[in-house]
Amino acid sequence: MKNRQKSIFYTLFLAITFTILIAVLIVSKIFYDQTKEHILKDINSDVKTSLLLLKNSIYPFMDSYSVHEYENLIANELNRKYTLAIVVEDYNMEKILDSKYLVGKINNNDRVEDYNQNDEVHQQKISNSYLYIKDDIYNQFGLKIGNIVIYASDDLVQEKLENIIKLSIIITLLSTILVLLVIFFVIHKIVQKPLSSIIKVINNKTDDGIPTNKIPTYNSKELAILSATLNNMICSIKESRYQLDKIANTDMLTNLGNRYKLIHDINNSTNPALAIINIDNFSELNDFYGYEIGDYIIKQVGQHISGLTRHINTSTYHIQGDEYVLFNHDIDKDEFEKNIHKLVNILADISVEIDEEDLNFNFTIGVSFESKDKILPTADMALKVAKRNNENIMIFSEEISLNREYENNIYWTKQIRGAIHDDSFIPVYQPIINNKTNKIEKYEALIRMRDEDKLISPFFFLEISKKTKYYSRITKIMIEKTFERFKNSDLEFSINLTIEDILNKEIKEYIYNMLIKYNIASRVVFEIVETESIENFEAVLGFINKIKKLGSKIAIDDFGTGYSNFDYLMRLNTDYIKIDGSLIKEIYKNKQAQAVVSTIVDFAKRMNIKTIAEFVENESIQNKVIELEIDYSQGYFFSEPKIDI
Amino acid sequence: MNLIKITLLVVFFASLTVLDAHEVKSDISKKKIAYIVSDIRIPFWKIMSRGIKNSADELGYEVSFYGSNNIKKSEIQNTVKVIKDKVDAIILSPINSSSAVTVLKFAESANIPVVISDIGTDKGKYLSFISSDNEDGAYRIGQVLAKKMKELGWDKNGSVGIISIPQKRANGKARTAGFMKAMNESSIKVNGLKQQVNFSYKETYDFSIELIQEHKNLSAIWLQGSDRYKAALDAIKDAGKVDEVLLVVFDAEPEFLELIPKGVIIGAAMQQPYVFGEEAVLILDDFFNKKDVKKHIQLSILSISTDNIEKNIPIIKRNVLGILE
Repeated sequence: MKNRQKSIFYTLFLAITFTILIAVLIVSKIFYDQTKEHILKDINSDVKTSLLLLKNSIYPFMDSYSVHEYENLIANELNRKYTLAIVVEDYNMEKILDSKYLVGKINNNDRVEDYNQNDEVHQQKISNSYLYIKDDIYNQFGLKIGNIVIYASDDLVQEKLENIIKLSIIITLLSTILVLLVIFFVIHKIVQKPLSSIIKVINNKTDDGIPTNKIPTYNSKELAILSATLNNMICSIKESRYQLDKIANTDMLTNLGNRYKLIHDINNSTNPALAIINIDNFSELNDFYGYEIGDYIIKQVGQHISGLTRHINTSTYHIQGDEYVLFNHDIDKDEFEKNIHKLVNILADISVEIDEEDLNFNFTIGVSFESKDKILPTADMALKVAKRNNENIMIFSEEISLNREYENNIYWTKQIRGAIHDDSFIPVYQPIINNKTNKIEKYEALIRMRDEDKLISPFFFLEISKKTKYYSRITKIMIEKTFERFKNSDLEFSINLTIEDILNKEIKEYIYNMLIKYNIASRVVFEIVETESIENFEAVLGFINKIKKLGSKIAIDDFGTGYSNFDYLMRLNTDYIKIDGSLIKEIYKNKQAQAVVSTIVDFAKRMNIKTIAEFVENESIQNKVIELEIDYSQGYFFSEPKIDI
Repeated sequence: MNLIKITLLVVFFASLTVLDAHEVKSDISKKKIAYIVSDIRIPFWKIMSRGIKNSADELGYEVSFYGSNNIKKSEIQNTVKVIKDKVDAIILSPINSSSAVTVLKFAESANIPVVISDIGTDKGKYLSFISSDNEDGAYRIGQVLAKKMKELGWDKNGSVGIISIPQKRANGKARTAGFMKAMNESSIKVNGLKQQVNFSYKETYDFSIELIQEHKNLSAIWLQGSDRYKAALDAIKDAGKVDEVLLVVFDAEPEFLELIPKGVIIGAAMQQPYVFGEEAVLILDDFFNKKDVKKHIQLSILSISTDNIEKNIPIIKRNVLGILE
């Protein structure tokens, strides 16, 4: 693209040149007019003077018939600068000749000629004369003896005025050039040169675009102010940049490095090692103690971790919510791994005092030694796998990477489509035990995808299916197959519904129709998940009321996590509360979990809502569940979900 | 027979020649010449007109004379008249060289050739101009004076005073220059030059007295014009310098034929006005006959002194005084 920016000096020069030209032209015009007026006055005066002189000197010669003598007088007068012609009519001679007698001289191309009234050139010149003055000539006795006419030419006027125009042009050009030269040198010295040096200093900058040097000061007041102002600006920018860098690179809560700094450090590393440390079940703590305490915990834990790792030349970052990162830009894998293992033990001893009680935490760590561009997502992948596998530390490997492939959206979209086509979505059933009778009282229907001889958890495909058109289809398949399974049974069973299902008209209609078709409503419990995402509460309540009228029951799934609260329970008119598995898993060893569950159970009892404990995986948990008087239990301690029951 | 034939042929051709000559003569006689002269009363011009008249009569031209009495109006009126009369040529002796210009202008417009006889013109077209060789004449009369002063032994201590015609005139300048040359060659001092203005007797008398009184060693007065010679002689006489101051004159008066031989006037440079007149008509005759004419003719001036007057009297009488015997 062509650069259309014009130099300030170019514009300045144009403006000055234009101004000078106009000014000189105006002055020249005034000078021209005045000179013209002066010359014209001069002509008038000169011609009148000439006329008077001739009148006074010519008559004796006319009276004495000295024609040649007064011709000489006329010729002499013709030497005056403006006189074109002088013509005398001699009455004395006319009397002799009996005809008009004219004697005169005329300037014809700088040659004085005898005037000839029959000469066309002479007549032409006279008719073009600028002015003429005529007067009678009297002799000493007052007798009129003739007349005289003096013609003035404006040739000299034109010549003089042309010279003025030429002079004006020359003066204009010379003065313009002179002024421009002076201005050029002055501006160059006091403006352009300092500005160039300022620009040079400003252009000498860091990668961030901040000048490295200070702008020098100048003698000129304006430039000194400009220099000082720019230096102040540069200082301010540097300070702001420092603050911005700090803000950009620092997590404001913990004062540790943030994700941005982590990515920057990763990019500058040579042999990186990275570990993501996640506080287990932190969301429950948040729910229980509130955000302020949650933030306090995050900050305290961060300080602990940072303190523990500083001596091993490893940087600590807080990248989100309950996740910290340990990063070393150049370290041997084994050494880092050894450090992380040591750290796990030390982390177990970290405690934070809340309400005069020391809280301890469990941590899950994902480690990666992959290349710079992969190290963070692979560590994250390792962390997820560690979480899923309920392990403290997971080092990323190719095997994990392969599993990750399953999480690939495209892969799963294809798999979902295939599963629908092949009728591979099947319900599995996990029993729910009545803790008073210790008997199976009901089942929860859970979806699986059959892949040859494996059953794939919805963990891999359910979220993806929600993003595709297949989700409602899968819901319908689950309802139909489950209803079909239980149509001839007396057992109660539950089916999971998301808010998205409930808000889907087609699904709602389908559910109503199926309940009526199978006449099974009184044995169906709809477990509503993701209640924290209810936006159209009225629509959800409408659905609940309708199915409850039909005889179905409502359970709130995963209660105790996220944003679920007691207000929901009251408003949704729920029959069951399924306490979140993450609380139940910790219940036998974590007092906070116990406190949360106890509160939920207590509330439920008062509201006449039955409670169900999920993820009851061992006897210790079941004992605690019974101790806390939870009505029902569900988990691997009793049975894994099965196709056949 | 042959002789008779030859005789007849000769007679025939001779007759033709005589006839032809008669016709030419007849043609010339028709030409009219006008002589416009400043003042015919003045002897110089009268003598010149006599030369014109006699020459014109001889060559068969009709000539008429127009004196202007030194009045320019008359000169112009005369010019207009001769143009109206359709003269074939004009001989002009103008009032002055300036007035000549006007006459020449009118003549040119009427396509009439003009021969200027003496005085000259400031400008204008003319056929020919006849003048005296004033410088040479003055030089030679200067030599006459120098010779006389040497004879008297006055050349060493004596000086000469000049009463001149106006020096703005060309003939005045020429006369002074020629005379001064002769004086310088003879190492005779010239003291004082008085220019005539009105050409009156008194003026010349006064100038003469002044020169005599102002220059005690004045030995001679040179008068550049002849008409007021008497005033100079009277002044010398009245100043008591008759034997101490010589007089030389330019031009001539009839009285000079007596005064020069007596030594009252020791010499005179005499123009030849009669020859002027003759020459003017001869020029016109050449012009009419389509012969080349000289643009400027200078006539010699006779340097007459006591020594040579006797032998030059016939020439002086005819050419200078116009006396035809």
